[in-house]
Amino acid sequence: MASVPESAQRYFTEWLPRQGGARVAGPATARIRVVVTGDGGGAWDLEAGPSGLTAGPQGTAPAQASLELSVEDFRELFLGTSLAPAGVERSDLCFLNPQVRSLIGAAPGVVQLEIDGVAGRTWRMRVVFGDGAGTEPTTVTLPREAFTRLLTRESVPPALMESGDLQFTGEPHLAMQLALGLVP
Amino acid sequence: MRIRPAERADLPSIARVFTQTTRHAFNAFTPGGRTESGLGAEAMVPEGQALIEFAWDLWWGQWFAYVAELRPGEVVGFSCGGAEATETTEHRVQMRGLYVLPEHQGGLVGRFLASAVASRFLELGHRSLMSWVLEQNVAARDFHVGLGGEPRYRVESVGYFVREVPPGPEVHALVGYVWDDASALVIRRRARS
Repeated sequence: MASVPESAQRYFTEWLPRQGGARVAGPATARIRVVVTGDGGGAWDLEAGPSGLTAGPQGTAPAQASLELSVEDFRELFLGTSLAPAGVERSDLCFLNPQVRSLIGAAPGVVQLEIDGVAGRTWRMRVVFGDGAGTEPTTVTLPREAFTRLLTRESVPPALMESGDLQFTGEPHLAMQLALGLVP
Repeated sequence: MRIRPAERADLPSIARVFTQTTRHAFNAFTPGGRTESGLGAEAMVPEGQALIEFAWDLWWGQWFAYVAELRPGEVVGFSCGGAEATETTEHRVQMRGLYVLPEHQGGLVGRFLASAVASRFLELGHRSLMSWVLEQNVAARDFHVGLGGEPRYRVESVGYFVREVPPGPEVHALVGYVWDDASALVIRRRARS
C-alpha cells in the first residue's frame, strides 16, 4: 500500500479518494469542504456519491459541512495515530460515512471542537454545518483519551457527558450532529 | 409490507418520515397551517434539529425502534419504545412516537408498528405501556382510541414537539393514552386448523 502523503493537497485529492472511495460509495450525495490553514494548507471539496469519492479544489457550490483546521492539527488527526488510531476510517473523520451523511448539515451552525492534551496543547477543529447561520458557535471539549475512545466506539457521547469528559456550551443538537458525523 | 427492527442505515429514512408526518399533522390541526400567533410547522419543528435529535435518540441505543418497510429500502413508518419521558405517570415505558407517512395512514401500518413495540415491551417484562399524543392532533388521538388506549393523563408544555413553542397562548397539551395490558396491542397470527 502506498504510504500516506504528508502533503494535505495530496492527502485529500489523491490518497483519501483512493483509500476511502469504496467505503464512501452510497446513494446519498454529499459535499464536504476541508480548509487547512497555514504553510502547506489549502481548501478542497470532497464529493461522495454512488460512484465513490472525488476531490478537487474548493468550488463555489455550497457544502453540507466545512472542516477548518490548521496544518498541525490536520497532521495530528489524519496522519498521526495519537488522536485517531489506525483502525479509524479517515473518510469517517470527514463526515463522509454513507449511513449518516444525509443528516450532516441538516442543522446549520458552527461547532468548535477542542481536544485537550494533544502533544501538550489543545487540538482544534472548526466545523461549519450548512451555511453556519442561526446560532452562536457551540464549543465541544473533551480530553484526548476520551476522544479516542469515542472514535474507537469504546465510549458513546451520552456516557462521556455523564462522566463529565465531554462538555459543551451552546446548542445540543449541533453537538449531536458533530458526534453523528464523527462516529457513524 | 414488513415490520422489522430499525438499523442505523435507516436513520435518514426515519428522519424523513418523522419530518413529513409531523408537518402533515401540524397543517391538519392548525387553520391554514398557522397557529394564532402565526407560527407554521417550520417554527414548531425545526427540520434540521428534529432530524439530528431523533437520529441521536436512536443512534445510541437509548431506544428500540421498528420500521415499516413497504418494499426493500422504502420505509413508510416507524415507532420507538423507551422510558416514559415526562416521569409524571406511574408508567415506566412509552411508545415514543408512531409515525406513518400521510399517504399510508388509515391502513394497517400503524397497527402493526404498535404491535411490534408492545411485543418488545412484553419481552422486556413490561406489562403496560403508554403513549403521549398532542391534544390537537385529533387523527392521532382517534388512532390511539381505536387501538384501545385509554386517555388517562394530560400535561402541558412537555415533550418533544412542543419544545419550541414560546410560553403563553401557544402552549400545547399532551394527552397520555394507557394500555394496562400491553398484550392487547399485539396482533397474533391465527393458528391454522
